[in-house]
Amino acid sequence: MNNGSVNVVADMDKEIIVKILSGEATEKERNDFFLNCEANPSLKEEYIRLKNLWVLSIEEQAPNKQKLFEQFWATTRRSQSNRMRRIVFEAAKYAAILIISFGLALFVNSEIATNSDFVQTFSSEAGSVSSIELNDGSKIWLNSGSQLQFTEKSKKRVVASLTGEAYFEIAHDPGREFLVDVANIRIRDLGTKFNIKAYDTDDEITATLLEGKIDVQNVKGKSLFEMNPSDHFSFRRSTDKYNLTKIDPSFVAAWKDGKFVFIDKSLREICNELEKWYDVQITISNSELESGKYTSILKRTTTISQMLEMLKVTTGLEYEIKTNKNGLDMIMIK
Amino acid sequence: MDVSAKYDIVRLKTGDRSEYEKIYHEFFDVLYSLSKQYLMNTDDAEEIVQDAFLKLWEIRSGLNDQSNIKNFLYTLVKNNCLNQLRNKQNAARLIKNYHYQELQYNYEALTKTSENYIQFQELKEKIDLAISELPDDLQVVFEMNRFQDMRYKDIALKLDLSEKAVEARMSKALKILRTELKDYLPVIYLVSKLLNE
Repeated sequence: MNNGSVNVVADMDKEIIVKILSGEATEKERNDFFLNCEANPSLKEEYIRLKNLWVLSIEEQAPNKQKLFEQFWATTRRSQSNRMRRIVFEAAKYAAILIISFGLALFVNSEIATNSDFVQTFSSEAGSVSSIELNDGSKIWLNSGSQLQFTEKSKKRVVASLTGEAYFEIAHDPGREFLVDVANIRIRDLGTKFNIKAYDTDDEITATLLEGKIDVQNVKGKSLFEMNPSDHFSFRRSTDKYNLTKIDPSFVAAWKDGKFVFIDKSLREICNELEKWYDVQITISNSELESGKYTSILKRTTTISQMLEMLKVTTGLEYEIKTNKNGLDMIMIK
Repeated sequence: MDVSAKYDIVRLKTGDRSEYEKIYHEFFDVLYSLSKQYLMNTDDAEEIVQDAFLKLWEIRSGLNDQSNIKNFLYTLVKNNCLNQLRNKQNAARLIKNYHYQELQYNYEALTKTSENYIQFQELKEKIDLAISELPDDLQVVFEMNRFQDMRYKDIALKLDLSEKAVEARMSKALKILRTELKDYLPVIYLVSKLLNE
């Protein structure tokens, strides 16, 4: 056996190292070898060198990679709220805004953009509605799974990056305009109540005015048209075309009061809403059913099973709920 | 060569499932293998790799075209493995056997690895490909010499060639491989250092 003064590692020792690395060495061999190393730095060096070489030469595969990916993905669905809650704490000291919430209001991220203004991100997780009260008394409600960024400047208040649905009740301030940027449209508020829906998953973006007046502008700030109460503006991202119609706005923001209101909606449209709220996936296997129109008002506190049971009783639809391994519910409507 | 370039940063930022699936499948094995070898435990390895991907998910909004996703994942996995080895070492301190040292050596070994580790795993595939694309006469000589450890003299005898001819074919093969694999030179350098030390 070599001792510390000899730099050459004997072939016999190399063989032991290889046995250890490949898992073939006995407990005793391992024990003796590692004790030996303590007195013999060159043996230790050789072990480290061969260990790294060994690791380089091996590529092991986990037998259940796809399952692990599904777990990872399911965690990303959940982790957002935890992470946000952590940041809530850190950001609390910047909170110039009072958060009131009857679901879970999340003060996600605040970064100081300049000395005078900072960007705050608010979000609402699936299955809850959050509301935010601004310094000036304005209020914003965020529907399930929605997010927006709010920047307060001396001359203006800007909402950007809205994904999802938000309802605004804005206190008019002639000195500080309130702007909402969504897709390539800018909405300039003139003291109003309005609802904007801009889910990532939907091609269509809509804005409905309940009270007051808003000015819709393009990115360059050129006024496109003014909206009056009951005006319903829709914009398609795919075609870049917009359309202005009149609708009954009474139920547009029913979501903020904890209700689902579906008036003459197709089953697919209804299911899209339910998916966002309950964080489930709904498949409709019968394509004839997809286009059938329904009208209903439901409480959001209803569970998904109650909701489906109600659909079954009133419409005769059959359904099946499956929970996959990651806890995500898959619903099949037949 | 730039692995990040293969990914659609915009889709990663928006949390597109298929893009994460792609990255997951590309890097999982290599990171898992690394962790498992040093930690000597499959559960710990799985957890550490999973955590690294979750971290990537968390910072997705900060990704940009310059983001090196490969290095990001590698660094996280390496550091978490090092932490985990330290924790295990603390636990092993009480038990008087060789585990404490083994963990210590693995710790030291791991500190010496670099992000080239991942590139080396890519390199292995590239080498196999490059060899398989060599002209047949060069390939035969190369494989006999490098994989079957045959000397030029023996190869010459077996193939009924002169030793000079074998030598010429070898140097021609090496020249082609050098050109094919030139992007991986830093990795090759690292490995050759390990081999010749």
